[in-house]
Amino acid sequence: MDNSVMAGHPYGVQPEGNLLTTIDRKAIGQAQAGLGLLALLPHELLLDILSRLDPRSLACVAQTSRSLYAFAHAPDLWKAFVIRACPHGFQFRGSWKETYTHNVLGLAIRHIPLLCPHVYSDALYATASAPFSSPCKSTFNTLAKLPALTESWSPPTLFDQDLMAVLGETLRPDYRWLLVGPPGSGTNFHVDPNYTAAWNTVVIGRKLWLLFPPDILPPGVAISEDGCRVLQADNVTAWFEEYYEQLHEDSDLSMHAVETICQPGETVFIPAGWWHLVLNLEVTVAVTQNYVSEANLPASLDFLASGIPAYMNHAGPPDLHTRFRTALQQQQPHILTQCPKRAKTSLWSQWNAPLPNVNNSPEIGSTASHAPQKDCDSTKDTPTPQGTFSFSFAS
Amino acid sequence: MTTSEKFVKLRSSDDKEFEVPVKIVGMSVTIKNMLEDLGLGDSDESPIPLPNVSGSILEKVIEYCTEHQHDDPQPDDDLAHVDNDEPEGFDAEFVRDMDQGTLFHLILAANFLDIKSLLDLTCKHVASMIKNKGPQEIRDQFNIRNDFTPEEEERVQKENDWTNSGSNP
Repeated sequence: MDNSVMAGHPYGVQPEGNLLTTIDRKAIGQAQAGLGLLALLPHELLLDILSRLDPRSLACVAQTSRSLYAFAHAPDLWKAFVIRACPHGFQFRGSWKETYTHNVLGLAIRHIPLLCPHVYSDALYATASAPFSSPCKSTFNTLAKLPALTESWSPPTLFDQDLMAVLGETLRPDYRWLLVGPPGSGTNFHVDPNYTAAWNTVVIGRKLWLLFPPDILPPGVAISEDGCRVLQADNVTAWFEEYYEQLHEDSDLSMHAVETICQPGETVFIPAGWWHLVLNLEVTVAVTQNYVSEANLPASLDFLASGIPAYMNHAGPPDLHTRFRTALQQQQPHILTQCPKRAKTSLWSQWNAPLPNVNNSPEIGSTASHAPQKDCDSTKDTPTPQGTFSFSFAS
Repeated sequence: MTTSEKFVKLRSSDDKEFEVPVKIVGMSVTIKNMLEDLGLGDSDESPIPLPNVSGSILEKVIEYCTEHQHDDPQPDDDLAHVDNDEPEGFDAEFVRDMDQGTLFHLILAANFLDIKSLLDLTCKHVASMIKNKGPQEIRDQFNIRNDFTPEEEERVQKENDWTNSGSNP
Protein backbone atom coordinates (compact mmCIF):
# COMPACT_ATOMS: atom_id res chain seq x y z
CA MET A 1 0.00 0.00 0.00
CA ASP A 2 1.18 3.48 -0.79
CA ASN A 3 1.35 4.93 2.68
CA SER A 4 2.32 8.37 1.44
CA VAL A 5 -1.38 9.13 1.08
CA MET A 6 -3.39 8.99 4.26
CA ALA A 7 -6.85 7.63 3.81
CA GLY A 8 -7.98 10.08 6.47
CA HIS A 9 -7.74 13.33 4.57
CA PRO A 10 -9.76 14.07 1.44
CA TYR A 11 -6.86 16.02 -0.12
CA GLY A 12 -4.17 13.62 1.06
CA VAL A 13 -2.73 16.12 3.54
CA GLN A 14 -0.52 14.43 6.13
CA PRO A 15 0.18 15.26 9.76
CA GLU A 16 3.50 17.05 10.27
CA GLY A 17 4.92 14.17 12.29
CA ASN A 18 5.06 12.14 9.07
CA LEU A 19 7.83 14.45 7.86
CA LEU A 20 10.21 12.55 10.14
CA THR A 21 9.82 9.38 8.12
CA THR A 22 9.54 10.92 4.68
CA ILE A 23 12.38 10.10 2.31
CA ASP A 24 11.27 12.25 -0.60
CA ARG A 25 12.90 15.53 0.50
CA LYS A 26 12.60 16.98 -3.01
CA ALA A 27 8.83 16.71 -2.95
CA ILE A 28 8.76 18.50 0.40
CA GLY A 29 10.79 21.34 -1.10
CA GLN A 30 8.28 21.56 -3.92
CA ALA A 31 5.41 21.84 -1.50
CA GLN A 32 7.25 24.72 0.23
CA ALA A 33 7.84 26.46 -3.11
CA GLY A 34 4.11 26.09 -3.75
CA LEU A 35 3.53 28.36 -0.75
CA GLY A 36 6.16 30.90 -1.81
CA LEU A 37 6.68 33.62 0.80
CA LEU A 38 3.58 32.41 2.64
CA ALA A 39 5.68 29.41 3.78
CA LEU A 40 7.13 31.78 6.40
CA LEU A 41 3.86 31.79 8.30
CA PRO A 42 2.57 29.20 10.76
CA HIS A 43 -0.29 27.34 9.09
CA GLU A 44 -2.84 28.64 11.58
CA LEU A 45 -1.99 32.21 10.54
CA LEU A 46 -2.17 31.32 6.86
CA LEU A 47 -5.67 29.95 7.45
CA ASP A 48 -6.50 33.11 9.42
CA ILE A 49 -5.48 35.23 6.42
CA LEU A 50 -7.47 33.07 3.99
CA SER A 51 -10.52 33.38 6.27
CA ARG A 52 -10.52 37.14 5.55
CA LEU A 53 -10.99 36.64 1.81
CA ASP A 54 -14.17 36.68 -0.23
CA PRO A 55 -15.20 33.41 -1.95
CA ARG A 56 -13.94 34.43 -5.35
CA SER A 57 -10.48 35.47 -4.12
CA LEU A 58 -10.24 32.24 -2.15
CA ALA A 59 -11.11 30.22 -5.26
CA CYS A 60 -8.32 32.07 -7.11
CA VAL A 61 -5.84 31.15 -4.35
CA ALA A 62 -6.90 27.51 -4.84
CA GLN A 63 -5.74 27.70 -8.48
CA THR A 64 -2.19 28.85 -7.77
CA SER A 65 -0.43 25.66 -6.57
CA ARG A 66 -1.11 22.26 -5.02
CA SER A 67 -0.22 23.42 -1.51
CA LEU A 68 -2.46 26.46 -1.67
CA TYR A 69 -5.17 24.31 -3.25
CA ALA A 70 -5.14 22.20 -0.09
CA PHE A 71 -5.18 25.26 2.19
CA ALA A 72 -7.89 27.07 0.22
CA HIS A 73 -10.16 24.06 0.59
CA ALA A 74 -10.03 23.94 4.38
CA PRO A 75 -13.66 23.08 5.14
CA ASP A 76 -14.16 25.78 7.77
CA LEU A 77 -13.47 28.53 5.23
CA TRP A 78 -16.27 27.45 2.88
CA LYS A 79 -18.53 26.49 5.76
CA ALA A 80 -18.37 30.11 6.98
CA PHE A 81 -19.39 31.40 3.52
CA VAL A 82 -22.32 28.98 3.38
CA ILE A 83 -23.58 29.86 6.83
CA ARG A 84 -23.34 33.57 6.12
CA ALA A 85 -25.10 33.31 2.74
CA CYS A 86 -27.79 30.77 3.65
CA PRO A 87 -29.34 31.75 6.99
CA HIS A 88 -32.49 29.78 6.17
CA GLY A 89 -30.87 26.45 5.45
CA PHE A 90 -29.00 24.70 2.67
CA GLN A 91 -28.40 21.29 1.18
CA PHE A 92 -25.07 19.75 2.17
CA ARG A 93 -23.24 18.41 -0.91
CA GLY A 94 -20.46 16.21 0.48
CA SER A 95 -17.94 19.05 0.82
CA TRP A 96 -18.35 22.65 1.96
CA LYS A 97 -16.87 23.92 -1.29
CA GLU A 98 -19.53 22.19 -3.37
CA THR A 99 -22.19 23.11 -0.85
CA TYR A 100 -21.22 26.73 -1.52
CA THR A 101 -21.23 26.56 -5.34
CA HIS A 102 -24.47 24.56 -5.32
CA ASN A 103 -26.49 26.56 -2.78
CA VAL A 104 -25.12 30.07 -3.20
CA LEU A 105 -24.07 30.25 -6.85
CA GLY A 106 -26.65 27.74 -8.08
CA LEU A 107 -24.00 25.96 -10.14
CA ALA A 108 -23.89 22.22 -10.76
CA ILE A 109 -20.14 21.69 -10.41
CA ARG A 110 -18.84 18.51 -8.80
CA HIS A 111 -15.97 19.14 -6.42
CA ILE A 112 -13.64 16.18 -6.76
CA PRO A 113 -10.70 16.63 -4.40
CA LEU A 114 -7.29 16.62 -6.00
CA LEU A 115 -4.73 14.70 -3.97
CA CYS A 116 -1.86 16.79 -2.60
CA PRO A 117 0.21 14.09 -0.90
CA HIS A 118 3.21 16.26 -0.10
CA VAL A 119 1.43 18.80 2.00
CA TYR A 120 2.22 18.31 5.69
CA SER A 121 0.05 20.32 8.02
CA ASP A 122 -1.42 19.55 11.43
CA ALA A 123 -3.68 22.58 11.12
CA LEU A 124 -5.22 21.21 7.92
CA TYR A 125 -5.16 17.57 8.90
CA ALA A 126 -7.03 18.14 12.14
CA THR A 127 -9.98 19.99 10.69
CA ALA A 128 -10.85 17.99 7.63
CA SER A 129 -11.65 14.51 8.85
CA ALA A 130 -15.35 15.12 9.21
CA PRO A 131 -17.64 17.72 7.69
CA PHE A 132 -19.02 18.47 11.13
CA SER A 133 -16.62 17.65 13.90
CA SER A 134 -18.37 18.56 17.09
CA PRO A 135 -22.00 18.22 18.06
CA CYS A 136 -24.18 21.09 19.14
CA LYS A 137 -24.34 21.11 22.90
CA SER A 138 -26.75 23.22 24.89
CA THR A 139 -26.91 23.43 28.61
CA PHE A 140 -30.36 23.38 30.05
CA ASN A 141 -29.45 26.64 31.76
CA THR A 142 -29.39 28.35 28.39
CA LEU A 143 -32.64 26.62 27.51
CA ALA A 144 -34.38 27.84 30.66
CA LYS A 145 -36.78 29.84 28.52
CA LEU A 146 -38.19 26.57 27.24
CA PRO A 147 -39.81 25.04 30.33
CA ALA A 148 -41.68 22.61 28.07
CA LEU A 149 -38.34 21.07 27.27
CA THR A 150 -36.74 21.10 30.71
CA GLU A 151 -39.87 19.83 32.40
CA SER A 152 -40.65 17.11 29.90
CA TRP A 153 -38.34 14.58 31.53
CA SER A 154 -36.90 13.64 34.89
CA PRO A 155 -33.82 11.58 35.75
CA PRO A 156 -34.23 7.79 35.65
CA THR A 157 -35.04 6.54 39.18
CA LEU A 158 -31.64 4.87 39.52
CA PHE A 159 -29.98 8.26 39.24
CA ASP A 160 -32.29 10.44 41.25
CA GLN A 161 -29.76 11.38 43.92
CA ASP A 162 -28.20 14.72 42.94
CA LEU A 163 -26.19 16.12 45.86
CA MET A 164 -24.95 19.24 44.06
CA ALA A 165 -28.57 20.41 44.08
CA VAL A 166 -27.79 21.74 47.59
CA LEU A 167 -25.88 24.56 45.86
CA GLY A 168 -28.97 25.82 44.03
CA GLU A 169 -29.43 26.30 40.30
CA THR A 170 -27.44 29.51 40.03
CA LEU A 171 -24.35 28.42 41.96
CA ARG A 172 -23.91 24.83 40.85
CA PRO A 173 -21.78 24.05 37.79
CA ASP A 174 -23.63 23.18 34.55
CA TYR A 175 -24.92 19.68 34.95
CA ARG A 176 -27.42 18.72 32.27
CA TRP A 177 -27.32 19.05 28.54
CA LEU A 178 -29.31 18.46 25.41
CA LEU A 179 -26.98 17.02 22.78
CA VAL A 180 -27.73 17.16 19.06
CA GLY A 181 -25.18 15.96 16.52
CA PRO A 182 -24.97 14.75 12.92
CA PRO A 183 -23.37 11.42 11.95
CA GLY A 184 -19.63 11.44 12.54
CA SER A 185 -19.79 14.04 15.27
CA GLY A 186 -18.92 13.20 18.83
CA THR A 187 -16.61 13.85 21.72
CA ASN A 188 -13.11 12.41 22.02
CA PHE A 189 -11.71 10.73 25.13
CA HIS A 190 -12.16 12.63 28.36
CA VAL A 191 -13.10 12.16 31.98
CA ASP A 192 -15.99 14.23 33.31
CA PRO A 193 -15.22 17.19 35.57
CA ASN A 194 -15.33 17.20 39.38
CA TYR A 195 -15.37 13.40 39.60
CA THR A 196 -19.02 13.43 38.63
CA ALA A 197 -20.75 10.34 37.31
CA ALA A 198 -23.22 10.68 34.46
CA TRP A 199 -26.05 9.05 32.64
CA ASN A 200 -26.89 9.63 28.99
CA THR A 201 -30.14 8.65 27.28
CA VAL A 202 -30.57 8.55 23.51
CA VAL A 203 -33.87 10.01 22.30
CA ILE A 204 -33.33 9.78 18.55
CA GLY A 205 -30.47 8.10 16.64
CA ARG A 206 -27.60 5.89 17.83
CA LYS A 207 -24.45 6.55 19.83
CA LEU A 208 -21.37 4.38 19.93
CA TRP A 209 -19.68 4.41 23.34
CA LEU A 210 -16.20 3.34 24.36
CA LEU A 211 -15.34 3.44 28.06
CA PHE A 212 -12.10 2.69 29.92
CA PRO A 213 -11.63 2.45 33.68
CA PRO A 214 -9.73 5.33 35.35
CA ASP A 215 -6.45 3.44 35.59
CA ILE A 216 -6.29 2.37 31.94
CA LEU A 217 -5.18 5.06 29.51
CA PRO A 218 -7.07 4.53 26.23
CA PRO A 219 -4.98 4.01 23.07
CA GLY A 220 -4.12 7.24 21.27
CA VAL A 221 -4.37 9.24 24.48
CA ALA A 222 -1.47 10.62 26.51
CA ILE A 223 -1.14 12.93 29.49
CA SER A 224 1.21 15.90 29.09
CA GLU A 225 4.43 15.86 31.11
CA ASP A 226 3.09 18.34 33.64
CA GLY A 227 0.07 16.07 34.10
CA CYS A 228 -2.38 18.85 33.27
CA ARG A 229 -3.49 18.15 29.75
CA VAL A 230 -4.93 15.24 27.81
CA LEU A 231 -3.18 14.86 24.45
CA GLN A 232 -4.94 13.19 21.53
CA ALA A 233 -6.25 13.61 17.99
CA ASP A 234 -8.45 16.70 17.57
CA ASN A 235 -11.60 14.92 16.62
CA VAL A 236 -13.35 11.68 17.23
CA THR A 237 -13.34 10.35 13.66
CA ALA A 238 -9.55 10.78 13.51
CA TRP A 239 -9.34 8.58 16.61
CA PHE A 240 -11.38 5.85 14.95
CA GLU A 241 -9.25 5.94 11.81
CA GLU A 242 -6.03 5.58 13.76
CA TYR A 243 -6.80 3.46 16.80
CA TYR A 244 -10.05 1.53 16.59
CA GLU A 245 -8.58 -1.50 14.79
CA GLN A 246 -5.50 -1.41 16.97
CA LEU A 247 -7.68 -1.59 20.06
CA HIS A 248 -9.38 -4.74 18.88
CA GLU A 249 -6.08 -6.39 17.92
CA ASP A 250 -4.74 -5.85 21.43
CA SER A 251 -6.63 -8.24 23.70
CA ASP A 252 -4.86 -6.95 26.87
CA LEU A 253 -6.27 -3.54 26.16
CA SER A 254 -9.65 -4.44 24.73
CA MET A 255 -10.51 -6.61 27.74
CA HIS A 256 -10.72 -3.39 29.78
CA ALA A 257 -12.78 -1.50 27.23
CA VAL A 258 -16.53 -1.33 27.46
CA GLU A 259 -18.01 -0.82 24.01
CA THR A 260 -21.68 -0.45 23.28
CA ILE A 261 -24.15 1.09 20.89
CA CYS A 262 -26.99 2.95 22.52
CA GLN A 263 -30.40 2.99 20.78
CA PRO A 264 -33.33 5.34 21.37
CA GLY A 265 -34.71 4.91 24.89
CA GLU A 266 -31.52 3.27 26.17
CA THR A 267 -29.30 4.78 28.84
CA VAL A 268 -25.56 4.54 29.41
CA PHE A 269 -24.07 5.00 32.87
CA ILE A 270 -20.61 6.59 32.96
CA PRO A 271 -18.97 5.89 36.34
CA ALA A 272 -17.02 8.76 37.90
CA GLY A 273 -13.45 9.02 36.66
CA TRP A 274 -13.90 6.73 33.65
CA TRP A 275 -12.49 7.67 30.25
CA HIS A 276 -15.11 7.79 27.55
CA LEU A 277 -15.52 8.58 23.91
CA VAL A 278 -18.79 8.97 22.02
CA LEU A 279 -19.51 8.84 18.29
CA ASN A 280 -22.90 9.69 16.81
CA LEU A 281 -23.67 7.08 14.16
CA GLU A 282 -26.75 8.91 12.92
CA VAL A 283 -28.38 12.25 13.55
CA THR A 284 -28.67 11.85 17.28
CA VAL A 285 -30.51 13.67 20.04
CA ALA A 286 -29.69 12.76 23.63
CA VAL A 287 -30.09 14.10 27.13
CA THR A 288 -27.37 13.76 29.71
CA GLN A 289 -26.87 14.72 33.33
CA ASN A 290 -23.80 14.70 35.54
CA TYR A 291 -24.27 14.13 39.23
CA VAL A 292 -22.70 13.48 42.58
CA SER A 293 -24.34 10.79 44.70
CA GLU A 294 -23.23 9.17 47.94
CA ALA A 295 -21.21 6.71 45.85
CA ASN A 296 -18.86 9.28 44.33
CA LEU A 297 -19.13 12.04 46.96
CA PRO A 298 -15.83 11.15 48.71
CA ALA A 299 -13.92 11.10 45.41
CA SER A 300 -15.57 14.30 44.24
CA LEU A 301 -14.76 16.15 47.50
CA ASP A 302 -11.18 14.85 47.33
CA PHE A 303 -10.83 16.16 43.80
CA LEU A 304 -12.36 19.55 44.57
CA ALA A 305 -9.98 19.97 47.50
CA SER A 306 -6.79 18.69 45.88
CA GLY A 307 -7.20 19.28 42.13
CA ILE A 308 -5.85 15.78 41.55
CA PRO A 309 -5.82 14.27 38.97
CA ALA A 310 -4.72 17.52 37.30
CA TYR A 311 -5.98 16.56 33.84
CA MET A 312 -9.54 16.35 35.17
CA ASN A 313 -11.46 19.58 34.66
CA HIS A 314 -12.66 21.60 37.60
CA ALA A 315 -16.09 23.01 36.71
CA GLY A 316 -17.61 25.83 38.73
CA PRO A 317 -16.10 28.53 40.98
CA PRO A 318 -12.63 27.98 42.51
CA ASP A 319 -14.08 27.74 46.01
CA LEU A 320 -16.60 25.08 45.01
CA HIS A 321 -15.16 22.65 47.54
CA THR A 322 -15.94 24.93 50.50
CA ARG A 323 -19.32 25.97 49.14
CA PHE A 324 -20.37 22.39 48.43
CA ARG A 325 -19.25 21.13 51.82
CA THR A 326 -20.94 24.01 53.65
CA ALA A 327 -24.21 23.59 51.76
CA LEU A 328 -24.17 19.85 52.44
CA GLN A 329 -23.46 20.49 56.11
CA GLN A 330 -26.47 22.78 56.31
CA GLN A 331 -28.94 20.80 54.24
CA GLN A 332 -27.90 17.13 54.39
CA PRO A 333 -25.53 16.80 57.36
CA HIS A 334 -26.15 13.07 57.74
CA ILE A 335 -24.64 12.43 54.31
CA LEU A 336 -21.40 14.16 55.27
CA THR A 337 -21.30 12.24 58.54
CA GLN A 338 -21.66 8.94 56.76
CA CYS A 339 -19.24 9.89 54.04
CA PRO A 340 -15.97 7.94 54.32
CA LYS A 341 -12.97 10.13 54.76
CA ARG A 342 -11.28 8.84 51.68
CA ALA A 343 -12.56 7.64 48.40
CA LYS A 344 -12.50 3.91 48.16
CA THR A 345 -10.59 2.58 45.21
CA SER A 346 -13.22 -0.09 45.06
CA LEU A 347 -15.38 2.54 43.43
CA TRP A 348 -14.05 1.20 40.18
CA SER A 349 -11.78 -1.68 41.03
CA GLN A 350 -14.78 -3.81 41.82
CA TRP A 351 -15.72 -3.50 38.18
CA ASN A 352 -12.43 -4.81 36.88
CA ALA A 353 -10.94 -6.94 39.57
CA PRO A 354 -7.64 -8.06 37.99
CA LEU A 355 -5.91 -5.22 36.20
CA PRO A 356 -2.68 -6.51 34.68
CA ASN A 357 -1.54 -3.03 33.68
CA VAL A 358 -1.64 -1.77 37.23
CA ASN A 359 0.10 -4.64 38.97
CA ASN A 360 3.39 -2.79 38.88
CA SER A 361 1.84 0.34 40.28
CA PRO A 362 2.02 -0.01 44.04
CA GLU A 363 -0.30 2.89 44.80
CA ILE A 364 -3.43 0.97 44.11
CA GLY A 365 -2.84 -1.45 46.90
CA SER A 366 -1.76 1.20 49.36
CA THR A 367 -5.26 2.53 49.82
CA ALA A 368 -6.39 -0.76 51.27
CA SER A 369 -4.66 0.21 54.50
CA HIS A 370 -6.70 3.38 54.82
CA ALA A 371 -9.63 2.35 56.89
CA PRO A 372 -12.70 4.35 55.99
CA GLN A 373 -13.36 6.89 58.72
CA LYS A 374 -16.69 8.16 59.72
CA ASP A 375 -16.08 11.83 59.96
CA CYS A 376 -14.99 13.82 56.99
CA ASP A 377 -15.37 17.31 58.35
CA SER A 378 -11.70 17.96 58.70
CA THR A 379 -10.12 19.04 55.47
CA LYS A 380 -6.64 19.26 56.96
CA ASP A 381 -5.89 15.69 56.21
CA THR A 382 -6.11 15.93 52.47
CA PRO A 383 -5.71 12.57 50.87
CA THR A 384 -2.59 11.74 48.94
CA PRO A 385 -3.18 11.60 45.24
CA GLN A 386 -2.32 7.94 45.30
CA GLY A 387 -4.94 7.38 47.89
CA THR A 388 -7.75 8.28 45.57
CA PHE A 389 -6.40 7.56 42.21
CA SER A 390 -3.58 5.85 40.47
CA PHE A 391 -2.56 6.00 36.93
CA SER A 392 -0.67 3.58 34.82
CA PHE A 393 1.41 5.12 32.10
CA ALA A 394 1.48 1.96 30.06
CA SER A 395 3.05 3.62 27.04
CA MET B 1 -1.21 56.25 40.19
CA THR B 2 2.55 56.68 40.29
CA THR B 3 4.10 59.54 38.39
CA SER B 4 7.47 57.92 37.74
CA GLU B 5 7.19 55.81 34.66
CA LYS B 6 8.75 52.37 34.77
CA PHE B 7 10.85 51.01 31.96
CA VAL B 8 11.96 47.57 30.86
CA LYS B 9 14.79 46.63 28.56
CA LEU B 10 14.26 44.37 25.58
CA ARG B 11 17.08 42.70 23.64
CA SER B 12 16.53 41.69 20.02
CA SER B 13 17.99 38.65 18.26
CA ASP B 14 20.81 40.82 16.85
CA ASP B 15 21.67 42.12 20.34
CA LYS B 16 20.12 45.56 20.04
CA GLU B 17 18.70 46.89 23.28
CA PHE B 18 15.56 48.96 23.64
CA GLU B 19 14.36 50.68 26.78
CA VAL B 20 10.60 50.85 26.65
CA PRO B 21 7.97 52.11 29.11
CA VAL B 22 6.13 49.23 30.77
CA LYS B 23 2.82 50.68 29.64
CA ILE B 24 3.84 50.32 26.00
CA VAL B 25 5.51 46.97 26.23
CA GLY B 26 2.50 45.71 28.18
CA MET B 27 0.49 45.62 24.97
CA SER B 28 2.33 42.39 24.33
CA VAL B 29 0.46 39.76 26.32
CA THR B 30 3.56 37.55 26.24
CA ILE B 31 5.77 40.19 27.88
CA LYS B 32 3.01 41.37 30.22
CA ASN B 33 2.55 37.83 31.55
CA MET B 34 6.30 37.40 31.85
CA LEU B 35 6.66 40.59 33.88
CA GLU B 36 3.77 39.60 36.12
CA ASP B 37 5.15 36.11 36.66
CA LEU B 38 8.65 37.32 37.46
CA GLY B 39 7.60 40.36 39.43
CA LEU B 40 8.17 43.75 37.88
CA GLY B 41 11.78 44.85 38.26
CA ASP B 42 13.68 48.12 37.83
CA SER B 43 15.14 49.24 34.57
CA ASP B 44 18.69 48.40 35.60
CA GLU B 45 17.86 44.72 35.63
CA SER B 46 19.01 42.55 32.78
CA PRO B 47 17.10 42.91 29.50
CA ILE B 48 14.43 40.50 28.33
CA PRO B 49 15.85 38.50 25.43
CA LEU B 50 13.63 38.16 22.35
CA PRO B 51 15.66 35.66 20.30
CA ASN B 52 13.19 35.47 17.43
CA VAL B 53 12.60 39.19 16.85
CA SER B 54 15.25 41.26 15.06
CA GLY B 55 16.09 44.85 16.02
CA SER B 56 14.50 46.39 12.92
CA ILE B 57 11.27 44.48 13.47
CA LEU B 58 11.23 45.23 17.21
CA GLU B 59 11.60 48.92 16.34
CA LYS B 60 8.45 48.64 14.19
CA VAL B 61 6.60 46.85 16.98
CA ILE B 62 7.53 49.59 19.46
CA GLU B 63 6.48 52.28 16.98
CA TYR B 64 3.09 50.60 16.64
CA CYS B 65 2.61 50.09 20.38
CA THR B 66 3.65 53.67 21.17
CA GLU B 67 0.96 54.97 18.82
CA HIS B 68 -1.67 52.65 20.28
CA GLN B 69 -0.77 52.78 23.98
CA HIS B 70 -3.93 54.71 24.87
CA ASP B 71 -6.31 52.38 23.01
CA ASP B 72 -8.99 50.55 24.91
CA PRO B 73 -8.13 46.91 25.23
CA GLN B 74 -9.67 44.98 22.34
CA PRO B 75 -12.70 42.94 23.24
CA ASP B 76 -11.74 39.31 23.35
CA ASP B 77 -14.43 38.44 20.90
CA ASP B 78 -14.01 36.33 17.80
CA LEU B 79 -16.67 38.31 15.98
CA ALA B 80 -14.60 41.45 16.25
CA HIS B 81 -11.94 39.65 14.31
CA VAL B 82 -14.11 39.18 11.22
CA ASP B 83 -14.41 42.90 10.58
CA ASN B 84 -12.79 43.76 7.31
CA ASP B 85 -12.76 47.51 7.62
CA GLU B 86 -9.98 49.24 5.79
CA PRO B 87 -7.32 50.51 8.20
CA GLU B 88 -7.23 54.28 8.57
CA GLY B 89 -4.83 56.97 9.72
CA PHE B 90 -1.66 55.73 11.38
CA ASP B 91 -2.49 52.07 10.72
CA ALA B 92 -2.97 52.61 6.99
CA GLU B 93 0.32 54.55 6.80
CA PHE B 94 2.09 51.95 8.92
CA VAL B 95 1.53 49.04 6.54
CA ARG B 96 1.44 50.98 3.27
CA ASP B 97 4.55 50.41 1.14
CA MET B 98 5.98 48.04 3.71
CA ASP B 99 8.14 45.45 1.96
CA GLN B 100 6.91 41.88 2.19
CA GLY B 101 9.87 40.63 4.22
CA THR B 102 9.18 43.21 6.92
CA LEU B 103 5.46 42.54 6.79
CA PHE B 104 5.82 38.77 7.25
CA HIS B 105 8.36 39.11 10.05
CA LEU B 106 6.11 41.64 11.72
CA ILE B 107 3.29 39.06 11.59
CA LEU B 108 5.55 36.49 13.22
CA ALA B 109 6.60 38.99 15.89
CA ALA B 110 2.99 40.04 16.61
CA ASN B 111 2.06 36.37 16.87
CA PHE B 112 4.93 35.56 19.24
CA LEU B 113 4.51 38.68 21.36
CA ASP B 114 0.74 38.20 21.31
CA ILE B 115 -0.29 41.70 20.24
CA LYS B 116 -3.74 41.01 18.88
CA SER B 117 -4.44 44.33 17.17
CA LEU B 118 -1.08 44.33 15.35
CA LEU B 119 -1.57 40.73 14.24
CA ASP B 120 -5.02 41.67 13.01
CA LEU B 121 -3.73 44.68 11.08
CA THR B 122 -0.90 42.78 9.40
CA CYS B 123 -2.96 39.68 8.52
CA LYS B 124 -5.66 41.94 7.11
CA HIS B 125 -3.03 43.64 4.99
CA VAL B 126 -1.80 40.33 3.53
CA ALA B 127 -5.42 39.43 2.74
CA SER B 128 -5.84 42.76 0.94
CA MET B 129 -2.79 41.89 -1.19
CA ILE B 130 -4.62 38.73 -2.36
CA LYS B 131 -8.10 40.16 -2.88
CA ASN B 132 -9.40 40.76 -6.40
CA LYS B 133 -6.39 39.20 -8.05
CA GLY B 134 -6.25 36.32 -10.52
CA PRO B 135 -4.24 33.15 -9.86
CA GLN B 136 -1.16 34.30 -11.82
CA GLU B 137 -1.12 37.69 -10.09
CA ILE B 138 -1.24 35.95 -6.72
CA ARG B 139 1.66 33.69 -7.72
CA ASP B 140 3.70 36.73 -8.78
CA GLN B 141 2.86 38.59 -5.59
CA PHE B 142 4.15 35.90 -3.24
CA ASN B 143 6.67 34.09 -5.44
CA ILE B 144 4.53 30.94 -5.56
CA ARG B 145 5.62 28.15 -7.87
CA ASN B 146 2.86 26.54 -9.91
CA ASP B 147 3.37 22.80 -9.40
CA PHE B 148 0.11 21.53 -10.93
CA THR B 149 0.46 19.21 -13.91
CA PRO B 150 -1.24 20.69 -17.02
CA GLU B 151 -4.14 18.24 -16.58
CA GLU B 152 -4.57 19.15 -12.91
CA GLU B 153 -4.43 22.84 -13.67
CA GLU B 154 -7.11 22.48 -16.33
CA ARG B 155 -9.33 20.55 -13.94
CA VAL B 156 -8.93 23.09 -11.15
CA GLN B 157 -9.53 26.03 -13.51
CA LYS B 158 -12.64 24.39 -14.90
CA GLU B 159 -14.07 23.82 -11.43
CA ASN B 160 -13.45 27.46 -10.54
CA ASP B 161 -14.53 28.92 -13.86
CA TRP B 162 -17.13 31.02 -12.04
CA THR B 163 -14.35 33.23 -10.65
CA ASN B 164 -13.92 34.69 -14.15
CA SER B 165 -17.52 35.84 -14.55
CA GLY B 166 -18.41 39.52 -14.14
CA SER B 167 -19.92 40.03 -10.71
CA ASN B 168 -18.35 38.97 -7.46
CA PRO B 169 -20.92 36.85 -5.63
